[in-house]
Amino acid sequence: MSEKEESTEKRLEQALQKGAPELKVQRISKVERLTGGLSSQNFFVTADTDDGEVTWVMRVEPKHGMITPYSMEREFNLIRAVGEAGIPVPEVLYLEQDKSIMDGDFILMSLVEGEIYSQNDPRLHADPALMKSVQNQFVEALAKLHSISQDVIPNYADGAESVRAQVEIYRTRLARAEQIPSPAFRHALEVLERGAPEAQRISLLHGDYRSPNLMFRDGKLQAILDWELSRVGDPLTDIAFTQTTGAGICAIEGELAEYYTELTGVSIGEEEMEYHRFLEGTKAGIIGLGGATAVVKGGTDLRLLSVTVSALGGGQQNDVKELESKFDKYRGK
Amino acid sequence: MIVLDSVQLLDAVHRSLSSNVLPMLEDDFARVQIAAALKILEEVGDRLENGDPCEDFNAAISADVTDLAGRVQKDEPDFAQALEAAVASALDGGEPRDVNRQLVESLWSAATKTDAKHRTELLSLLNERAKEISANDARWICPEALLSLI
Repeated sequence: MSEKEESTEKRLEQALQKGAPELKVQRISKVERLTGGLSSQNFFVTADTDDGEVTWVMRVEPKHGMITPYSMEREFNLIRAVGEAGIPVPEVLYLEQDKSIMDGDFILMSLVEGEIYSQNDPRLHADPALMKSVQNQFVEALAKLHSISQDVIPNYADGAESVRAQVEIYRTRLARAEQIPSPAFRHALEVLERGAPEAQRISLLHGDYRSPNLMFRDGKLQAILDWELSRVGDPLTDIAFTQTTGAGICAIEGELAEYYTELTGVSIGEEEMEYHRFLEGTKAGIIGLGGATAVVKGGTDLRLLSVTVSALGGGQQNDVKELESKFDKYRGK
Repeated sequence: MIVLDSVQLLDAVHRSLSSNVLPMLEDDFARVQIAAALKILEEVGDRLENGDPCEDFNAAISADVTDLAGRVQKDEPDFAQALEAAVASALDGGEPRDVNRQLVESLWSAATKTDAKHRTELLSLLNERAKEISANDARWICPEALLSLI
């Protein structure tokens, strides 16, 4: 164990003893960085407590992340609120806003153990009954999320936020992320702004809803993870996400889309979905562009450069003439 | 170091990291950082040998736009003039990335501040060249890096 690791563990130990005496921490024995996650830095924290050894998950605000601005306080309050509303989530245990401890705000959460299924997991292909069960639970949990009152999130977001406002958010993100000008993304946002459909409902959204962000145990959903892109908006954006960035076994289309509509009353029209798929693809690309910017601004995670190269490739795939004609009807809107 | 050129130095660092460091690492996060760093070293080596890809993009887009300006001159002289001015302003020289920024910003401005009939053609042209560059850049993606993030 290096001197720096010892120091991190000691600082964390002291912070938890002082700030969260209910956790009964005697000693932090290990802090292990995990590879997963595009933005927040995730760690396993192993602690000796009065009740024995415990492992928690810690999410730390990155100093130079891809999805700025960050607010661990917002994420902490959000996870707590959706948990209280009956959505399965890890238990949030502690929020620390003294940046000197982990070089950024952090939240400590319970470790939910179980299986995570990749977007085209061979285990699900090999077991049709399990696949059906996972797909149904995937849809049911999203339907429940989209049906709870957005008011469960105190001071969380403006309920009047529209699809067009979402485009504006990504225009701002693009301006921050562009290392060299990206006309393809700029043009995509122009077309999206022109074509923004009215939301039929404003709901609480997850924003990154795909099977790797759901934890199952013995075939039952235990927790929905990674809430940092959560916001309030049109539920069709979450559906479109499952068909684009989240595409795979749990894409909500066909029978799964019918099931979702049956549960929520939200209709999934192809014309709106065409728009929302384009929006989600563009958003994912712009987030990816932020990887290079994060590194340039002082970030040390070199993987993010590969994310940017990959995002640029994806963002350039739209055919401009096709886009222009597709959304021509919205011109002057 | 006078005895080796930059490419040779980079190759040596690449070989050392991949042979002596990467196999010794047990920490997954550290391993994938080294894997990503090796890919970046390869890209830098390529640039030293073949130049900055931004230069190729700038040359290609300038030629495309000059050609487009010639074709639309009769039909839309104002638009053609805006295109020629954009290319001319970027030809003043400078670092490839500065030239790129100036060139693309000028063309983007020409495309968005007009209802010219050939606006879509300009946007398509920009997009097609960007696609080519992206396809070429794909070889610098570190697959291990992307897989580790899922």
